[in-house]
Amino acid sequence: MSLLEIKDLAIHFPTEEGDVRAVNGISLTVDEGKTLGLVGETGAGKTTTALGILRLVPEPGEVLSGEILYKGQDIMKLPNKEVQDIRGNEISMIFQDPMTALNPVMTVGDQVAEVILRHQNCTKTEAQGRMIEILGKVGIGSDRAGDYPHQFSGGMKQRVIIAIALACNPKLLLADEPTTALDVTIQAQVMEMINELKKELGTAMILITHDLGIVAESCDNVAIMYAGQIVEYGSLEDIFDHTSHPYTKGLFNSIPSLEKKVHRLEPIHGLMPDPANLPTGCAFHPRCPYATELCETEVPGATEVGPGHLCRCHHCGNLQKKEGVIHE
Amino acid sequence: MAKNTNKIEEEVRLKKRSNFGEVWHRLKKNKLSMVCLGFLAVMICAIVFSTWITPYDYTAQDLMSRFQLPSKAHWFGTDDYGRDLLTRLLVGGRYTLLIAILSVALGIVFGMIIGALCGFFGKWVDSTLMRIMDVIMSIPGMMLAICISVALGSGVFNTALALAVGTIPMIARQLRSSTMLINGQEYIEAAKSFGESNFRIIMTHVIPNTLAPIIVQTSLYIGGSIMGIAGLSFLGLGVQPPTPEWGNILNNGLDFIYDFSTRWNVIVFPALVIVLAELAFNLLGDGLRDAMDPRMRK
Amino acid sequence: MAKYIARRLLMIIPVLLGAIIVVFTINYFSTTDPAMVKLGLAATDPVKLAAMRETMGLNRPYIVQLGEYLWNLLHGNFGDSYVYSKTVWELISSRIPNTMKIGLGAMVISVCIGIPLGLVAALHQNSVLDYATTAFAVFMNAMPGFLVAVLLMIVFGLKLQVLPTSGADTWQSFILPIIAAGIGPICQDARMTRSSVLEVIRQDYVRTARAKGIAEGKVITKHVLKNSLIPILTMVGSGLGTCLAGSILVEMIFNIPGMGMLINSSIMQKDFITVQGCVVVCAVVVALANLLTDLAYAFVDPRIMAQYTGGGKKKKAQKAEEKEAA
Repeated sequence: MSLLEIKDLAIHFPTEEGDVRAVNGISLTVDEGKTLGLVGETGAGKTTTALGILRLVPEPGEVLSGEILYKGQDIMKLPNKEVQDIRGNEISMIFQDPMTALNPVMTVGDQVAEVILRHQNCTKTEAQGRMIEILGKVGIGSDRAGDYPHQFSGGMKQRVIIAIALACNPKLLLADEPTTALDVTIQAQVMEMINELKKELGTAMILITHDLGIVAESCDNVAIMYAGQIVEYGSLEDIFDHTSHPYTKGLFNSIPSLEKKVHRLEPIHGLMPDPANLPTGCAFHPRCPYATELCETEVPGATEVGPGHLCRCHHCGNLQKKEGVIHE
Repeated sequence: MAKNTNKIEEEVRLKKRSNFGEVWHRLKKNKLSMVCLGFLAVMICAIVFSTWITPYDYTAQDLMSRFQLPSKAHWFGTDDYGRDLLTRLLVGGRYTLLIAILSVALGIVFGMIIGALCGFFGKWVDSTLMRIMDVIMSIPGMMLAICISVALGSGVFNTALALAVGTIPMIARQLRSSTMLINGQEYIEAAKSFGESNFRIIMTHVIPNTLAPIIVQTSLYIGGSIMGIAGLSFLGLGVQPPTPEWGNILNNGLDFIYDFSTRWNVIVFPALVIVLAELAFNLLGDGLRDAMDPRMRK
Repeated sequence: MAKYIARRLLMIIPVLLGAIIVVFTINYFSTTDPAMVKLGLAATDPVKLAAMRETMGLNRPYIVQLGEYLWNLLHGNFGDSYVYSKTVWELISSRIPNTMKIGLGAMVISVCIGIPLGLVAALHQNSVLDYATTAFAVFMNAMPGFLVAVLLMIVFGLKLQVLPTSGADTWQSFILPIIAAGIGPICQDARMTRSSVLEVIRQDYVRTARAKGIAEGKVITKHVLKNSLIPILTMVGSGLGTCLAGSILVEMIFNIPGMGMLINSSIMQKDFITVQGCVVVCAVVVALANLLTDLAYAFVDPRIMAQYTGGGKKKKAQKAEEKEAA
């Protein structure tokens, strides 16, 4: 049995401008100790998926359908109390923006100790000891536990957040773009630290990112998301070496490479569609260089292009560029 | 395809619409604000054209018909001198609104000048003027108004000035911060590089660009001003009888509070007029502020 | 902490001095001649008037008179009443307790009712309770305090006859005045609390707290409330000024011998030096209230304290980080 299995999850946000369908029927699995990379542009529904797993989708968002099976139990059906027991203890999350994710009027030590006290039957002194220990693991000295978040730099704050997330040895870690808000020099340090601690504790992870470089370094499996759907899903090798979906191809083509000589990078043209007003058929067809009439009318199903390698495209076996169409 | 073109045109139209147009567009969706706007429009029309609405003279005393309750002849009844209450309230509205608008106008003009000077010149001009503003802000608004009103004596302009002084620091502070924001923009640099004078830059670039939020808050300030006038009148300051003004009409009515069951009209109607006007200005101001708030935008 | 308090205390002095100078200057340019007020009916005699002006020192330059006023204030001397043969301080000091009882009482009820009301409204956003609270607050905000006083007097005093409507003899006499002066601040506190809580509840760190598995009730008390307190404190601090001003108007309705009545009678008799004294007292009280607010800030928000204690810790921290990076 997989540690986490999501089946056909759909989350929407009813707003005045229309129904925003942030997550549109996704399915994925995470095995114990493994890392799944969730890749996509901003607004593809990655963060919403992660928050959905913790049942923390912000108002007015609602889970429309689907199951989130954690150790075989559907999180969606658990009573609040039990979900709270899971949060921070079995499944924890590292948030995107370290600048705002810490309470400004509590010392960082207290914020780490809080989660320990909540989930582990221990006294305050024991929690303090554990707090110092975990802060030490992320490279923060015990003398700084009494400081407030505003006395920390961005990278240090992210370390504190990682400490909070790992304080109770969770089984599953949801890392939502843990390095996006940091300086480039710090990014590598933080990523390295997450990977080391993960290995040490045997934690599984869903790594949300739009950086394929990070994916290549840390992930076992990869899911490419576009407009609330997983368009391609497979092992790291499947995705990187046997790329099938035109969107995934587009992502790779827009990264400069040292090996291949390219005259010019080929970015994906156009913008992400408005999630309140998705195109008919395949959501990617207005931007797809291979789109045919079929793509405009019919939603593609997931086809298995290799063992465990899924692709949502009408043409995923044989991609042929439309002739005479120039994308500006 | 045609559908798409329409959509693009629509977007262009939305973008082209001026800032004020957009605020108005959003305000129109707020029913409560529109009701308030309608009420204020009707009230102001009634006040302006009061001579055609009631046949009475606001000073005409008729001692034979003192303290009449509302009737066909006197819709709001009569007061202690037998004067028609509706007429007095309509004419009084002229003075009340005049003072309120004048005080806000004074507050805005002085606040604007001080705020723009601070924001534009910075350094010692800024710190000196802002310290003075801090000092004025440290005195409770009503106290300051009482003090000035006492010193200057009664009258429309003096009352307006007394109320205005308290609002100057608030407006000045707001303008200072928005001026500082604008001052960093490139078009100011550009204007400076053309050799335009400071005065001209303030008048043509700074003030127009900082005005919008202030104009929108005017409604709230007018509401506050009406409350202030009522308070001053209640203390026997402000416009003196027999010149009618909502506050002093109410204050006059309050002398008969112990006969409330038989003479309720001299208290209820002036109070109602003040509260409704105040409510309308406040709600309209809230609506405008919401319409201005960028966080409400998509 | 002591350093912070000392700094804040020092900062209050120039502001207070400025406020007193402003009030004095406004009165100095008054259109009414104090000597005339003091002489009363005898003011028609120009010789006596000139003599009185001389003895009152009104012919001296502005700066000398201001200096003298400030010097006397420093010794607790607010000057002599133009009308009564008493000092202004004697007049004010006997009235302060009543005004303070109403002003502080109004502030206490505004905090004890307004903040919980706003919190409940925010936590049940868009519920009937929320709409009712907001509507009540908007409506009451448009009512001048003295009008609320009139309403309370008519309902409780004259119709139901359950509470006294005049005088300050028993504790019951203060119930209606406190409600009347407090209702405006209650509404302001409730509105402020509501918007502040709604703002904080959307913050990322509240989501972090929830993601830790903290129960909702504890998230509110431990994370939301403390952070939303910061703007509310400002409101409460400045609310004392509103409460005092409210008290001054309300006293006259309920016939309570406080500073409001004194101001009113002094205005009637053109005894402006007494009015001036009252305004100065209020300015001092408000300045002290603001000081207390700022001190409370420092307890709630560590960032504010850091501004005053020189951020030494932050520099140290940065250095440590640099070392680590190297």
